[in-house]
Amino acid sequence: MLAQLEQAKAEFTAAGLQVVAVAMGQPKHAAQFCGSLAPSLRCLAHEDAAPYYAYGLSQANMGQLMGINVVKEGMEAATQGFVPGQVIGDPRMMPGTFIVDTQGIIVWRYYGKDVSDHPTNAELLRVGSSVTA
Amino acid sequence: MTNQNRLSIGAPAPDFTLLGVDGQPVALASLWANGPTVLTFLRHFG
Repeated sequence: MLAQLEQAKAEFTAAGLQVVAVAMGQPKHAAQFCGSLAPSLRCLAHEDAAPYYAYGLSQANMGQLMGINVVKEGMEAATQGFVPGQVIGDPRMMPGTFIVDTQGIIVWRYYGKDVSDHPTNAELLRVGSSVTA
Repeated sequence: MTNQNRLSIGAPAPDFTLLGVDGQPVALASLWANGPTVLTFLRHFG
């Protein structure tokens, strides 16, 4: 997801959107991971899952963690050269993406169907552009 | 935790103070106050 967002950084900026990635860990983990995959995005760390739960995200069930789509996505990532390093955080946590307006209101949300499910950049740009228009 | 805990469109986004890569605290509200924000939660670093 992070590398995907990084690829469209210029388009997000042109659309007036800022991109913020959150994960569990310490600042050094955010710096190491984001520095290699998404150096131009803002990455933030939190020591526990409290923000996840507050945004309605929870731990995956077995199907969401080990389903065929997850295996497929993992294989595709591997063929693209992504080699997972030391995992900091909770691999069981479901991902989610939100677009928040300047008043702090959620104007769009995406809850993954499994741990590998993320919105596309095109979808984010389409929705995000309507917020900034 | 169930889908009932999911946030609705139009709901206030929960504000949290997290740490930036430099270790400095960053309030989410201070970010979206500057412009619409795509906020994505990753499973993990690594």
